[in-house]
Amino acid sequence: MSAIPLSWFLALAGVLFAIGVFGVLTRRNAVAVLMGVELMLNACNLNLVAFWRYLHPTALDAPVFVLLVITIAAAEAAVGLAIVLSVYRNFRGIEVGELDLMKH
Amino acid sequence: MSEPLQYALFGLVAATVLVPAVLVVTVRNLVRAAFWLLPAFLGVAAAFLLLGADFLAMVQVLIYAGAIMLLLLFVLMLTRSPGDARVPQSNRLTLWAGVLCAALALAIVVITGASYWPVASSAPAPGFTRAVGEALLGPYLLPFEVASVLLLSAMVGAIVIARKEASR
Amino acid sequence: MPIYLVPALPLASCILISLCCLQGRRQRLAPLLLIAALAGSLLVSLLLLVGLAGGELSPGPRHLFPWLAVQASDPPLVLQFGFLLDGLSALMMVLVSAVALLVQVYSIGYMRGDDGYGRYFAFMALFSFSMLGLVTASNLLQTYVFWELVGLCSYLLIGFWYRKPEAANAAKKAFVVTRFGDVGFLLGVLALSYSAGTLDLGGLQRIIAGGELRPFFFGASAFTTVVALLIFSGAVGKSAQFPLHVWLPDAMEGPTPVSALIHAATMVAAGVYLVARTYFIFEASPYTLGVVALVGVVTAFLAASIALSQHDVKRILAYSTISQLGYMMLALGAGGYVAGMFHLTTHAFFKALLFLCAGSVIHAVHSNDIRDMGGLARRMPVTALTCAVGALALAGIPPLSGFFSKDEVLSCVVTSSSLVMLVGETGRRVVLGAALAVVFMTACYMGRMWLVVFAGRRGESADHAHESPLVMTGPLALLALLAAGAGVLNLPALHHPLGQLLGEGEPAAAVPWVATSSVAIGLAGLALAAAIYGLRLLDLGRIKSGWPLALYRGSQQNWYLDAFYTVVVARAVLVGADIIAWVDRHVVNGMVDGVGWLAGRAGTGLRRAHTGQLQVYAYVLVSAAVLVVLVLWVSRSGYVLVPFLR
Repeated sequence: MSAIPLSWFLALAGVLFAIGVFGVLTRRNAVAVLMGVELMLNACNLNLVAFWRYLHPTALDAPVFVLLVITIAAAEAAVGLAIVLSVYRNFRGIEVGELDLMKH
Repeated sequence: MSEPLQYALFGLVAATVLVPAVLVVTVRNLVRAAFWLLPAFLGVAAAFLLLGADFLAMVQVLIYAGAIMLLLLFVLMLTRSPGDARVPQSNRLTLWAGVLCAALALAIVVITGASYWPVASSAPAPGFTRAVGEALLGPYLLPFEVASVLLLSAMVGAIVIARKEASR
Repeated sequence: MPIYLVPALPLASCILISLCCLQGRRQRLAPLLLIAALAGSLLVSLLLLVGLAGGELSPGPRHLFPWLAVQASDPPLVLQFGFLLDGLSALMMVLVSAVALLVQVYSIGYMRGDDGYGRYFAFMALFSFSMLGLVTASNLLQTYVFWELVGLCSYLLIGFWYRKPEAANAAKKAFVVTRFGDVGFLLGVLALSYSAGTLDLGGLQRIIAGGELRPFFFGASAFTTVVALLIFSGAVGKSAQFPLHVWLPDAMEGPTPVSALIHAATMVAAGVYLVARTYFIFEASPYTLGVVALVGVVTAFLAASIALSQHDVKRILAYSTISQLGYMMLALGAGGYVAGMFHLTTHAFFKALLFLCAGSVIHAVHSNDIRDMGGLARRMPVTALTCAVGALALAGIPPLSGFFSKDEVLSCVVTSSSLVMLVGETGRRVVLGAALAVVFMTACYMGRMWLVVFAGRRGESADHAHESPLVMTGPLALLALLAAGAGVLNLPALHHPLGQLLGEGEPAAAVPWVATSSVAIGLAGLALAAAIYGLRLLDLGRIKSGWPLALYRGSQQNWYLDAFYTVVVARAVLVGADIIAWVDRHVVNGMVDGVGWLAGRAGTGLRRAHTGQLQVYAYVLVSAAVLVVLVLWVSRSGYVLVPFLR
């Protein structure tokens, strides 16, 4: 892919990240927020791989790192969703706007 | 591969990632939003392929498109309350968040575009998957094992948090 | 013989009395301590006087030690604390200690039985110390310090019977009114210190006489005039000249010995002493001496006219004092340095005598009002006789002392050049006429007082009256002797000893017709008084209406000056105070409250950020990050937009 400049991939990742941020900030449902988080993580991975391919293609720590990121994303999704379930059971609703017990 | 083809391919991948992503964060029906995640993840996998990380593309499909999306859908189903489909899903920050994210995207695009990157001229060695595997069990053994423990604890934790209360 | 003993002995007695003699039976010890101290002071003063007059001691400052040094000024101002011995201070030392001594002896009898017996003598001791310190001060700031101390003692002693509201108010009034004058005095001192570089009296004299004063505003002569007038304002306050004389009549609320010592003989003379002490400043500036003389004669005339209508014996004497002080100022202003001091001396004797006599009568009759008295001569012969001596001395009848001193004062007015300079020859003649009118009025009211109190029908109170004890009549007798004989102090036949002591060059030529006319006028005044009050040839009770009555009423009310001060000055001050209080309440407090209110509002506003909503927090977080990135990017690279397409 020598014709495509690195900055294009980075731009792609950046826009994807921004879209994920938008989802995190805007959505009312907790699960929807987590969807935004996943998008952000994907954007990070994309960034990592792009940098690896263009700057240090022979090194292997970037792909390993990406693998670990995916692993952790999975773990985080699992735990996060478990929490969402628990909250739902206790509050009968998972509207993010109503989960403001930290206000005081 | 010829240049125009490369451009076209990149454009296709970009579209596949970005358009569904926008839909994920905007549609009202959450189940549909979750489903729109699928092409987004697949698009990212395609991008990995373009970049020559084939193993990672496979992992991406397996884990993200496979497991995580399913998990999201499960929890969505389990936590439905009636009348959800009619409730607007975007909160009052929408406008300002839009502005902010546009600014963020613009900032990243411009800055990365204007910066100088010391691009290497070499290509990755063939046999990516093998190399990654050997790395995981070689120099990066410790992170690998720690990740396993992490997965285990996450699993246990999720089960503990999500199980129903023991009946009194 | 060290001069510092003179003020130090009374100070020591004050401390001792304050420590030991304020309670119970030990109070009887207090006057003895003070009298011993004053006797010592008198002795030392007499020795110093004799030494000075005989030429063994030379005039000049003694016992100097550095007090203040202001290095920042140019040239550096160095003040030295010390004692000045010269003719003027020796005269004052002897006078003050002698009169004070006699008054304290008298007080033993007068204040017997009073609750504050010990306190009285403590304050009297403090006053003696302050007054003696004032007359021996070697620099002007030291004078000012003792000046204020004397004012304090006056306040303490006027308000001695502090439970009485009139006394407390009188004390306040005295302090506040003299304060007006004191401010001017202090300003004058400060101006001098800045422009002359020293406040030492000898040094000041050299500088001003040599014309080396450096004025810092106006020209040299205007500056000295302003300074002289400022210092004179202090004298106006302390010596109860018009218009600051209003405190002295009220000061009669204090015990009569206090009135005798402080408000007749010594403290009120401090103003006259100050003008004499700083005479070189007055001589150096044009017109100021004329101003002093004019103020003096106006005061003398005004006060004498008021004294004619008073019923309170002490008030008659108070206004008389004011009038005579005006006379002294007239003398000084007319160029008669020696005449003024001579009159101060004789006046101290006979006025103290008169006040002590009044005290004796008041003590016997238990009233101040002369209408309650009458025919006391039979019952109180010593008092009556000594009082007659004092009254005749005041009226200027020869050969008593008052005649000689008044004669000198009038002669000065006749030969005065400073008066001519200010008001011209006609003005001088008017002043002379006024001074002679004062002689007439003085004789009148003194005659009236003596006749109403001691002659005529015996009133009821006379039946209970008895002569005062020896401890009171003794000082009366001594003072009478002094009042009678003090005329010798400046006799031409004896080559003017007082004049020589005070360093006068050659005495002024005597003006013979002045002496004869003043005696004639005095006798006429006495005759009028005798006609009205003694022989009852005229009955003033028949004057019921018309302008004589208006004059009479006006005279009784201090020519409405007190009312004027209350309405104009006091109200103005109170209005100003109200304004300032409003500013303090609303502006200053408002600012403080405003700061508090602002903090509260800011807190309330900022509290809104704690919504408890995650997404809001996240929003803030992200926007902060974006902002940081943008700032860094712009500041680092200097440009914002660059196309990234190659």
